Amino acid sequence: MNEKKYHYEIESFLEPIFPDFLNDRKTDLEEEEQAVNKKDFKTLSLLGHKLAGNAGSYGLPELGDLGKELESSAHDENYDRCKEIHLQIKEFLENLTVDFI
Amino acid sequence: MRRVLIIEDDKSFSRLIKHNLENDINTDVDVADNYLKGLSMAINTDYDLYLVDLNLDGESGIDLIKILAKNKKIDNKVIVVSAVITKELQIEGYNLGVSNFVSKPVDLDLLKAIMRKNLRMLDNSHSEILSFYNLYLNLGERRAYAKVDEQKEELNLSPTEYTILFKLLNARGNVVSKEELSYTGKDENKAMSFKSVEMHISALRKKLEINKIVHIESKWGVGYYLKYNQNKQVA
Repeated sequence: MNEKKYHYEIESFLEPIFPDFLNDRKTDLEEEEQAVNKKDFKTLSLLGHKLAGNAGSYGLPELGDLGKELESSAHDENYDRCKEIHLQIKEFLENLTVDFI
Repeated sequence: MRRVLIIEDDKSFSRLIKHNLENDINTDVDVADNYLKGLSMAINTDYDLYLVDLNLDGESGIDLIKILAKNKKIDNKVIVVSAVITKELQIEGYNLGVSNFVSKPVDLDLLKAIMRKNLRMLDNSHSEILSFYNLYLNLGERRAYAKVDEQKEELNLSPTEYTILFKLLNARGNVVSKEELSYTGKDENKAMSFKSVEMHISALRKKLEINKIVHIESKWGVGYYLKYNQNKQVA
């Protein structure tokens, strides 16, 4: 795995609220895992929509793109793709490192 | 300090906006994280700006704005943020009084610039007064007053009466056609009947009786104008 793939430079004004953002993502990731197991496409779509809207604003556009893909795959009820994207989001968050600049 | 209400179900997003606004634009920011809480806070408290998400846990932000618009004046006070902004939504929103649509993910610099512009407009409109002899309109608050015996009396006009008086005051004694006055109803894109215009004019005349100095004259077959009664002194 290329560690640099998940390294981001984030604007320093976001530093005080970044830990809360990551905590929210952790909570959503758990909900996402349950939704994948239950094939709950409505919840997956909502979680994808939320991630698409917030991650880019926090300086993580690639994570936002994954949210967008999750939303559209859930809309198509494509279980395999939803599961795959969920794992990609998990990998992204587990390996994310940031520098505040 | 200006007050802003963010109606947004995504806590990460609302935290980001609140953090930015409070630090950079010197505003006091409240957050409602669902549709019902947002509606209740928006109706019961006077905010200077509302930031509304279109998708509130499956409830529609546009529906919330519709209810809000029926209860208070929201022109240039609502900014909509959404990941999906269609042309139809924008037309509906702008007709309701939405000031701007901002796409998610948001560019924070752009959002802050839009908010500053809206707050500046609010500052200007709050202080703008239109007058004709002893009649005064506070354009920001959409309130009409008559100065009688050195006392400022509020005229308590309906929204349509206010808009009609605004057009008449703006014309400063010149005739305003019935046709132009017919576009002063709830839906400004749709004309009301001339009969309705006449009814509103009649109600407005009664409310203006308090001032005795300016009254509404009819120009037969054309429209109406404000006339200054020279026999009375301006208070």
